Parts: sequence; C-alpha cells; structure tokens
Amino acid sequence: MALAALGVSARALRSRSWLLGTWQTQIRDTHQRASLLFFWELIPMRAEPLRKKKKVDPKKDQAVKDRLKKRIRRLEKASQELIPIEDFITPVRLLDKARQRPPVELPFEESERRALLLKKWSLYKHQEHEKERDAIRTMLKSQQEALQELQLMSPELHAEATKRDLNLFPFEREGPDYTPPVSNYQPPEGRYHDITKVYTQVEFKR
Amino acid sequence: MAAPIRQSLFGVAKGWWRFEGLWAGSLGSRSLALAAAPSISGSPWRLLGAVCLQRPPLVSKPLTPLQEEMAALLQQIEVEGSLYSDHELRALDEAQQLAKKKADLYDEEGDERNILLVQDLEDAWEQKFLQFKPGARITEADKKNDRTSLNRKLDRNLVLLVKEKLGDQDVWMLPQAEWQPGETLRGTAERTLATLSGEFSASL
Repeated sequence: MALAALGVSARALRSRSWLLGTWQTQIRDTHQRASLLFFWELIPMRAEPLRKKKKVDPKKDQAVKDRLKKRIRRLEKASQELIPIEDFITPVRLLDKARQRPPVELPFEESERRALLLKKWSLYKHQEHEKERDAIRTMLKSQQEALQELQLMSPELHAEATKRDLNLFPFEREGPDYTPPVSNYQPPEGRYHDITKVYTQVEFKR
Repeated sequence: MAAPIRQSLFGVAKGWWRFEGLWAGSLGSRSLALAAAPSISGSPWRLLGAVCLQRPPLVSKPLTPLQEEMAALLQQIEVEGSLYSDHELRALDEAQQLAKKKADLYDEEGDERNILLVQDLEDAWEQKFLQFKPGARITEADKKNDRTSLNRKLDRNLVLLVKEKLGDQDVWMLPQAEWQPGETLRGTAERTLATLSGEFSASL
C-alpha cells in the first residue's frame, strides 16, 4: 500500500514534458522510490504516439467558416448602428447634484441694469447692421455705375470685366486676432496623444 | 488712408491682397482727363487702370464701452447658468475642510491629500501666463507715425497710395498706369502692380 502510494506520488510528480523533463523528475524523486521494481515508472510507457491529421479537420474548418458567414448575415440583417453624436450625450459625471450652483437671486437694480443694457445693445446692433447694409449698397451702386460707363466706352472691355473669376472661390481667410503674431516665437516642445474617437460606419453591400 | 474707414473695410472682404482695376480705371480717367492722345479711337477719354493694394487688419479693434459692458454681462450670465467645474468643486471641498479644521481644532491625516491647494495651482498658472509676452497691439511704427511701414495701425485696413504730379499739383492717389490696347483692364492693374517699386508680396 505504501509502495503503491509512493508510486502514485511519483507519477503525480512526473511532469508531462518530454524526455529531458521526465528524466529530471525521475532524478529528483529517486530517493522516494523503494525498489528497482519501479523501473517501469522510469520510462514513460503511457505516452501516445503523435496522431496524423485525419480528414475530420477540413470539415471542422468548413464548419467554422459557415458559422462566421452566419454571423455576418445576422449583422447585415440587423439595423445599422448610427454614429453617436458625443455633444448630445451628457457625461454621467456632470449629472451629479453637487455640481449644480445655488440659484442666484438678482437684486432689483441689477435686473434693471441688465434689461436696460440689453435694450441699448439691440439698438446698437440694429444701427450697426443698417450701416453695413448701406455701405454694401453704395459700393455695389458705384460698381454698377462704373460698369455702365465702361459699357458705353468700350463693350469689349466691359464684356471682359463682367466675366467670372474662378480664382475667387474657394475663399479662405483667417480673421484678426487680439494680438499680432510674435516674430521669433518658439512653441513648447513635446508630443500630444490624439484621443479623439473615430467612428466608422461600414456599409454592407449585397 | 484717404478713403473713409467703413467703405474700405468692406473692400477687404474679398481677399488678403486684392486689386480691383475694373472700375477704378474709368473713374480715374473721368476726373483726371488730360489733353493727351485718345487711346480708344473715336473717344475723347484716356483709359487708366489702377491698383487698390490693401493690407487688411491683423488685430481686432478695441471695444467700445458699451461693447465691454455687454461682454461682461454675457460672461456673467454664462457663469450663472453653468455647472461647477472640477477645479471649483475642489476649491469648495478645500474651503469646507479648512472650516472643519478651524472648528474642530484637531489635525487629521488629511494633510497627505491636500499638499497642493487650489490657490497654489492658480498662482502657478498665473506665473506661467505672465511669462508669455504677446505681440504689441500698438507698434513702434505707430508711435513714430512712420507712414511707409506696413506694421502700423494693425487694427485698420490700409490702402497703398502713391504721390504723383498732375499738372501743377502733387496728388496722393492709387497707383495707376495707362491702358494699352490689346489688354484687359485687369491686365493693366497687374502691370501697375509689377511696376511698383519696393519689396512686398501681393497676390490676387
């Protein structure tokens, strides 16, 4: 019984690795082996020889391919997912109540001041708009008058002047900033990792 | 700079450097017709093409008092209608903890967390901002009133004028050239631009 137990333990200790590994395990637990009767334990007699690839495998591959095709067909049938507009989804951390400001109660003078300022501002913007409109009108009028004069003077020059200039569009221009550009500016060194999420919508064509 | 501001400002809207030789030419010939040989057979008028070379503004105009007030009001309204940011929440928490400490008068081990106070962060940011030197809105050319430099009056639209003699008088006007038969008025304007002396880069 003790010998059998020893044999069992020896087998358990033996690793599944091939020749060298098995020899090492034999050398390690030789002190536990009781007698030379356990000689047959030394040589791994129970390993199976390597199996040759049978014809079952192509069928297996075929089955896998079929499964994939089925999955693809299911995806195609299901409605396409639309790309989410991240601006319309409020992040969960902003729904916290602790984030909300206490409601402000404006004193009477402050609300009056605001109302009067808004009225003045609307009047100002209206006047600004009128001025812009008049300026554009006068410029267009003077342009038309000049073209009329040119027409009277020489029709060929007028025809060439009224042709379209294809170099005008596309028109790109950067507006004025608050400060002018610094001539010898050294931007700070470093890399940045662009973590913008890019969504792709795959169109399934049949 | 002779043209009124409003009018020239909208002449800008068409491009960085832009010239309009079309109608400037005939207007010029109308007012400055001299007794020279007519270029177009049969007409008594001499045709000149001119160039309106502009340097658009690089800098925005200073705000009027009304605009400043309105900007401040809009900012106030925006802040009132917003949520607390992470920075503000942190400031509020720290203020609460300070109040607790003063009230309870015993030291917690919370010092490990709050080594960097909100005030320290703000001071550091302020320092960093002060290190940056932006470009000057009012340049040296403004101070010297140097009319030949391009760096002056960065918030206005500047037009190139040339001094020429007409008869007895010296007149500041747009650079112009005589129209030659066989070219368009636009061609005249381009030729004028090419014949201007000085270093500049301009395009249609």
